[in-house]
Amino acid sequence: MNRRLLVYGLVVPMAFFLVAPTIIVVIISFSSSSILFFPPPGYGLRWYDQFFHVSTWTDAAATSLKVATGSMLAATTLGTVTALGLVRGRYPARGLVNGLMLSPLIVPTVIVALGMYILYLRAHLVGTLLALMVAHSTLSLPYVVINVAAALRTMDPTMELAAQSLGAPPLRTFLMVTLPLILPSVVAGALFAFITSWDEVVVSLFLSTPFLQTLPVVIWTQVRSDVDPTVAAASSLVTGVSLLVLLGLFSARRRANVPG
Amino acid sequence: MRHVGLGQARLGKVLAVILVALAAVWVPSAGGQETVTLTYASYGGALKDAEVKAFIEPYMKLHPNIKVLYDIIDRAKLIAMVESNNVTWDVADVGNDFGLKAHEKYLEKIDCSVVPCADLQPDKYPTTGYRVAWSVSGVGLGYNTTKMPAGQTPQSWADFFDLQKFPGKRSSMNDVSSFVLEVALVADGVPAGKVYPLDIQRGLRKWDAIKSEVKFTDNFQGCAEAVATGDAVMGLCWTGRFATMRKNGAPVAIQWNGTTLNGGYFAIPKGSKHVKEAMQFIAYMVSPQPCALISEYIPYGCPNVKAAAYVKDSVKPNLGTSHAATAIFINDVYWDQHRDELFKTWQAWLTK
Amino acid sequence: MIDGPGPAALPVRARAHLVDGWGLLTLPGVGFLALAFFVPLAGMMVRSVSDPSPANYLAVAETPVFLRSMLYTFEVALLVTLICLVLGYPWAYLMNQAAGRWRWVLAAMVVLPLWSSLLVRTYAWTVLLRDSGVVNQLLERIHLIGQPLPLMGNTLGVAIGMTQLMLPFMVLPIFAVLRQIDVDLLPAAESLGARPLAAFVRVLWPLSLPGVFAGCLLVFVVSLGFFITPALLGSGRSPMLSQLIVEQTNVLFHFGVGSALAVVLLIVTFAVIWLGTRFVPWTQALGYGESDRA
Repeated sequence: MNRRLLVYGLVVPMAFFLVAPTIIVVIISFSSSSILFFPPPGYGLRWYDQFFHVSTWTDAAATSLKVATGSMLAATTLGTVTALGLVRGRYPARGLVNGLMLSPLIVPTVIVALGMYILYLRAHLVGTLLALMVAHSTLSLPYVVINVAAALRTMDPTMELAAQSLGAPPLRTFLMVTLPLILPSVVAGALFAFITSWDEVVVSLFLSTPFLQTLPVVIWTQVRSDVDPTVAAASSLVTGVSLLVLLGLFSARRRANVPG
Repeated sequence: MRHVGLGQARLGKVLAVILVALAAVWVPSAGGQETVTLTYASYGGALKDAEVKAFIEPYMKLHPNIKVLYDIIDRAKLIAMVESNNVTWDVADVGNDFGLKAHEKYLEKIDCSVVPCADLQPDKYPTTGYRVAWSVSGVGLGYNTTKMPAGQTPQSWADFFDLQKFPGKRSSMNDVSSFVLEVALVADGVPAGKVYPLDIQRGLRKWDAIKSEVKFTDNFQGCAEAVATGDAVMGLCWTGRFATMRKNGAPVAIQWNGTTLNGGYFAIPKGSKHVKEAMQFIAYMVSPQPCALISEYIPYGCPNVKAAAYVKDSVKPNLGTSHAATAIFINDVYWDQHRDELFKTWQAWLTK
Repeated sequence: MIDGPGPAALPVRARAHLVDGWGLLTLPGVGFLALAFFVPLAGMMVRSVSDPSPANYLAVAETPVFLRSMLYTFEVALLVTLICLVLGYPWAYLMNQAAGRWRWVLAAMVVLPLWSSLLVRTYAWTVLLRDSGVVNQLLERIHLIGQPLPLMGNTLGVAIGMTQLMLPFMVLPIFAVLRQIDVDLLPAAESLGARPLAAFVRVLWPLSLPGVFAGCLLVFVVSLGFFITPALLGSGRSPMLSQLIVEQTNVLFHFGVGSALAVVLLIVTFAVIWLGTRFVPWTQALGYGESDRA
């Protein structure tokens, strides 16, 4: 496989394709105009100022962070355990059960949202962080399950067997042998779970109240009514922060001298 | 008079003092009323800014015991709330397609002794008693001033459908509830006052002629933006968007001849916990001065006949209501009865 | 194809139960979904036959717009899945081969966009793809085209927008599985005389199939539910099913019809997946079919 061909023929245009919209958003966030003209007629920090001074935005960002973190942790733990059972267990109606675990991905969100809203209304949970976390966890669960199941299927069983033949109890085997082997998939699943919650609009719209809004809800109402570049500023800030986090993780791994 | 013993008299005095003290601590304001929190649900964004400045802040100043919270409206959410008997909204901005016969069961009856119903031109902005008209807006013909053939500008909807005279792409809302059929009928020669009942096939035939040159979208902002950036030379979009873009320097102008006009409506969800206060708040918002004030922040007209005197001259040209002479008034009652059929027929045509 | 250890490969109690120890692990997840997801869903499904009646399904069957939209939705989802596979597999492969720093760069490029809002990113695409947008301006400036190309307001625009959003969902599962595969296998095959392409097709590809399947499943299924991207980048004349469901529920308040559409989508999707697993030897990838190694 001619690697150079691959790199220049594919990666470079793709890189462009992946990164271009984000760059556009960053440029617009510095626009001096309130209409999303491109290229902007002028530049300034007006929209960043707006973001930090309007509490709606900062509150929403904080809420989104809490909900996304909570639902990521819940979905990843639950999803990993479930994937173990799905792949290795014996249970009736395999096809059906596996399919059911996928259903949150398939069912159109607006229908689920309406159903969840009615349910949470009756349970007096609308407007609580718990409701948002639970709702987002159900939507994220399939991502974790699919990723971890794929890893379990690919995993070489000899290490586990070796550990068990040496007398390690199941939990220990899992934590010290299995988990490190499937970790990339668990992390991928966790990432998807976080992103799903972070970006989730429809269910969050239903479960929000004036006191509890997530960032996508605020963005959505802005986008529908008046696209003003505060949205672009919010987006760029988040991208910037995640870039820093990624850089931080990267340099931490380098220092710890973990290969790759 | 019963003879009160000494012990009982002292007890009575102590109790009286306690009661007075409690009353003094508990009763917060001069009005002697508890704080009532009303939740007002509307569309957010720029409209929220306008509503806060024109309605909410002045009202809270006038009534220190009332607090108004803002939430985002979603009619499906409203229906779900009412059905589950767990209503958290008190005043909802429901839109012209909600609140007539089909939806009465979700709303409280309006008390016209509190709300000035008669002043709100019910002949133009219909209501069956469960909703209150508070704003007027509509769709209109916007065009890009830099993309017009020399010396010409569109004079009416007929020009929107005339690809010879005005070549170029059109931008349009893609849903029939943006009155695409009414506009087509008027373009085809039907007088504005006589478009109902809609001759659907005639309207569709008019659209057939330009279908391939139209960019349809369901996004209010995108519709007008296409005209502002020149991707389309003319647009059938909500005039408020055109007006705001124009104000911000975009090369768009509006041809007001034939603009559609319909009301925006307040309603009180059935089961609201503060019906009385909600009614009073609505009465305030539709009274002449506050109602006229909103047009300074967002290009909406006011249905209250007495409000015209208070509308600033500088904003008048941007309001659909200033061009009522040639406007198409939307018949909400007709729509309430035929909505499903209209949606189905238009969508079948659109997706062919 | 390397498969995970089936239930009999690991020490297990001798009694033959319907559900074994491992199988019990599925309970928390299934239970959680049952309560938090299936109960609300069931409520809406009941609505599809009770609000006002099962005639909702008749309405769905009789309206050509719904059927056309369903077909179009599957078409787009399939298209996006294929594009993501063709673009995503090489990316994942390169990520796997790359040395430390470059691997992070490649990962970051595919993952970073996920953090900015989907709405904002889709909007950025309109800035890039519209007639007066950046891409057309660039192409016109270098005289490659005379007239702007229609890059949005059609299936192309939708496919571009959705691919960028879905690519990470293809790349990451494939990468995660590739990591587990012995790095020396391909060079070993080649040293035994296999040509590079044959080595790939017969050695690497089959081993990476679980990841490929996971990625394709994710992308396909999630693509079915999109409505923001097609609303902004597509043509108002070819709605995807979710757009119609939103219209039925939020604009027309026909909760029953909306739910019926959702139920039909669910059933058809399961059918498509089931059909797919019949024809492609991926049945073991996610535990469909018989419990193996019995």
